Amino acid sequence: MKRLDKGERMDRRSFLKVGALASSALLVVPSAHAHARTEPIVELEKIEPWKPVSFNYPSADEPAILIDVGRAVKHGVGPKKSIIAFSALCQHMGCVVNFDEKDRLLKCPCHASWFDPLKGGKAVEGPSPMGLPVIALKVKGGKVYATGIIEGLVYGRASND
Amino acid sequence: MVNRREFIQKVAIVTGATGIATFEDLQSAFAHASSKGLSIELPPDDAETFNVTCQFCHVQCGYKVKVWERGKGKRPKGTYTTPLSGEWVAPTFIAPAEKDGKKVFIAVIPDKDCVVNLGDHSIRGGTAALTIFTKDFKTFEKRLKYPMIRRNKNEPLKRVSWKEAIEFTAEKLLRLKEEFGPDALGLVWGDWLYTLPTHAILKFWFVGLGSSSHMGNGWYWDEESAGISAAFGTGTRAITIEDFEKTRLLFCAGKNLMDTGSVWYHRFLMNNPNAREIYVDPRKTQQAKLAEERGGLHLQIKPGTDPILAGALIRIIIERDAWDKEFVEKYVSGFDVVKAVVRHDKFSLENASTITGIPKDKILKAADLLIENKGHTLVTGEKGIMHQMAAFEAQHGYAVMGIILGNVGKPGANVFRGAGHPRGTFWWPPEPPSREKNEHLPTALKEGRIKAIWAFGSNVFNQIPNQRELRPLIAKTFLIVQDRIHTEMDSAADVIFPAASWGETEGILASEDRRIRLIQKFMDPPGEALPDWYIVAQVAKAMGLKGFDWNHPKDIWDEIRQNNDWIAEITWEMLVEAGTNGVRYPMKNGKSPERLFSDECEAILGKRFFTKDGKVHVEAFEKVLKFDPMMYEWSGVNKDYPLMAIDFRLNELWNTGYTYWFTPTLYERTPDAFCMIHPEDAKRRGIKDGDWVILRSRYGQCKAKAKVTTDIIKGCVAVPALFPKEDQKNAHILPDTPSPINGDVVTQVAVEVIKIKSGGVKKSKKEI
Repeated sequence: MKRLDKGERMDRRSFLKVGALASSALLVVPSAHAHARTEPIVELEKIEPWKPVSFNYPSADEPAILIDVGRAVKHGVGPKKSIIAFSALCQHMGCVVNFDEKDRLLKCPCHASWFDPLKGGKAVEGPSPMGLPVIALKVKGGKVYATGIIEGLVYGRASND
Repeated sequence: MVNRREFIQKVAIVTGATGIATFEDLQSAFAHASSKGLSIELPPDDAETFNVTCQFCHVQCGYKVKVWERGKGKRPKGTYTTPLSGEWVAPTFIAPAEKDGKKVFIAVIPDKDCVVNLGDHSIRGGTAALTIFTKDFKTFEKRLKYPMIRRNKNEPLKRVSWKEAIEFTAEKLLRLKEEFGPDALGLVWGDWLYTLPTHAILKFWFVGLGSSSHMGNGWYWDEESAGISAAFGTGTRAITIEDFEKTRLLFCAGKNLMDTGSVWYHRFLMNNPNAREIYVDPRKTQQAKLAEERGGLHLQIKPGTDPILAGALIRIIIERDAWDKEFVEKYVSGFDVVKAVVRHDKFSLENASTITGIPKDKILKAADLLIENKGHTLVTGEKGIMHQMAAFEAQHGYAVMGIILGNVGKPGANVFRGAGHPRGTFWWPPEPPSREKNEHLPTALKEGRIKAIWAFGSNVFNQIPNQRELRPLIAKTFLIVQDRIHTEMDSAADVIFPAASWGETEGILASEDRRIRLIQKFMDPPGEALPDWYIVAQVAKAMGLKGFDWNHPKDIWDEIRQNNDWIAEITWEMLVEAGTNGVRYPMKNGKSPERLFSDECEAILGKRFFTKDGKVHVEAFEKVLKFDPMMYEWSGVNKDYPLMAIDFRLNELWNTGYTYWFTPTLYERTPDAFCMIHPEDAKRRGIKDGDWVILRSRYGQCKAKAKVTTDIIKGCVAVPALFPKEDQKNAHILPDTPSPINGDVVTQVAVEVIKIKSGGVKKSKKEI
């Protein structure tokens, strides 16, 4: 079998699946040194339960996802402590995970690692040994900000810095 | 997330003789990988590098092990690699350890250049580094480091020298053999430890001791492929991993390939988006959902009825005149038997649907798919169809279904038994003739004929069913435990031999798509632990036996290959050179076919099939005619035991958990066994999701947490197999009945499920 080159590996069907969530994030090129910095994500009032917001963190090339899971969870912010965020790069081999509305899981289209936002992004199915890295959030002036990585190591990196 | 305090209160983990390691200990031991500001050190370019394959499943992904002095690695900033590159080093790939007196990091990294996995891994292989013996992980306390004996059952185990332990064992075995005959010495083997250690122990047992008393992990007297070898003359898997990318249809029965042979399935998912799947399983697993999502079928079958489904599908194929006439005409013997059998009413669509519980339209659609994709279908089945009384009928039944459609020996089309672990042995030493009347070790135990048991890399207090009856009997024997960790077997062992683990000794492992690889040794075993084969050889020699003078693993390999012309040409040196891609077998004149039963196979080996007459034989299908579910486990269902319990594998749990169960990322997924139960069955018993329940069979009981779900069919419940917590082991509820035709272990049993009233969960150390 022809060994596909990096970047070609994602076949078309999978690519289309991830398109809705990711921006240009499929091909993550080595980015310049990025600090664990504070980044604005979205206004609090724009967030609806189970309607994820995609953003990029720690750098502009690294897709991330914010979800209001409707009830208090560990690391959750907002009035209900229900807003959490994760790196959207699968901890298995780095494909961008998609949110499955029906199952309320973050699912990787490549090798089917499934992550549960209600369990802190833990992998509940599939090959990923670790859950999605958890992004620290804070709310200030009606806006939600990403401020760092609380748990885990973002795919593609040796350091979250 | 588990509430930590609650967890520690309830679920202290007992580590046998050495004390308690709590979940908190493990979490903090692993803190380097999960804390804020986490950064890891990557291997430097001059790291010591070793070629290995995984210690777990049959896929046998290739890995590179890198060892380097802490502080001397690379620490790149930012992103250094891209998705699917196979180059990202995950935190779980790295363990801090000690080697040659230095503090090092050992990384076990999926090999992106290995043709099997191309940098991919499962959750099992992807956490292999966390199984390494290192003082930085609390789990090191569990490792066996020194030989221990007790001179009689009342005394505690005490540490002794190897010399004393070997002599004690040899003397005892000699005396028992002399007094009671060789068959009084029993062996339980086969959880792992392929290929060299199994050669050593089997040669010692059958040839050295002359004993025929033995059983494996999941079988009593057959190599588990009887339904396949009846047809082809061999049970060796015929495929190559690339077939998963070439096939048009995957027929997968009783094999959760996603969870037990993951990378085979990953390649199907990733690289074969247009292929479809027929997935046969009483449980709606992730694979079932994926199969249906991708335009295939989940046949949610009533367990123990597979032969009816196979017969019904074959009947439809024959009624539609759709079998591969050319293939059958040229190669198949016994097709008339098949045609006659499926004419019987029991294989009508109507009856099949009633018996199997699968809707008629789904059976028809399955037939459509099979016919549409004939000659392009992979047909496989594994434990789900084997660990039942109808093991032979089911395995052979589905095989015949695949065979008559010409799914044999072609790219993307073959009939093969699934697989579990890597290739077990390459040569079966001749068993003593007493085996004919001595096939079932549990019977011999119950009749008091077994005076010694050697538990060879097999947890006999978990792997063997009917624990309530058999455990005390095993405990009474002279019990030799050869293993790597402290387990509950410690309490009954007369001898403990500490053995080297994966990576601590050279080994040979072969994938079940027939690639043989050398596992290089990359670290020393702890304490005085020794390689398994070496321990066996010392005992053999102390007993005065000849033929155990191996000095190096290569000596054993050379001996094995002398006895098997499929591997005779494959030298140790070839394996060293071949690295993680290994050398394929069978090999003849330097060539190996990619698949068995193919044109290429015939060209290289001079044979397409391995039966006496070179044909594919399906006469044994007549056994399916006699089959009726009520012959077997279902006859045990009554008002006292109204539900059928089956078991299944967890993605993260390999066999009984060995050295790796306590790795946090694995343990977290399933801290306790859960019992899948249908909402109607649950309601009738007052059981709610999350309740602790007891499963009670005629043989014993075990407990689990109820998971109320329609993912299991009504009338059945399902629990994980071989779960490492004592009172959650389903070995307590299973009978030791063998499947009658080929001697498989049976893991289907009639039960009642009872809610444990609140406050009834004992908080004692014995809980686990």
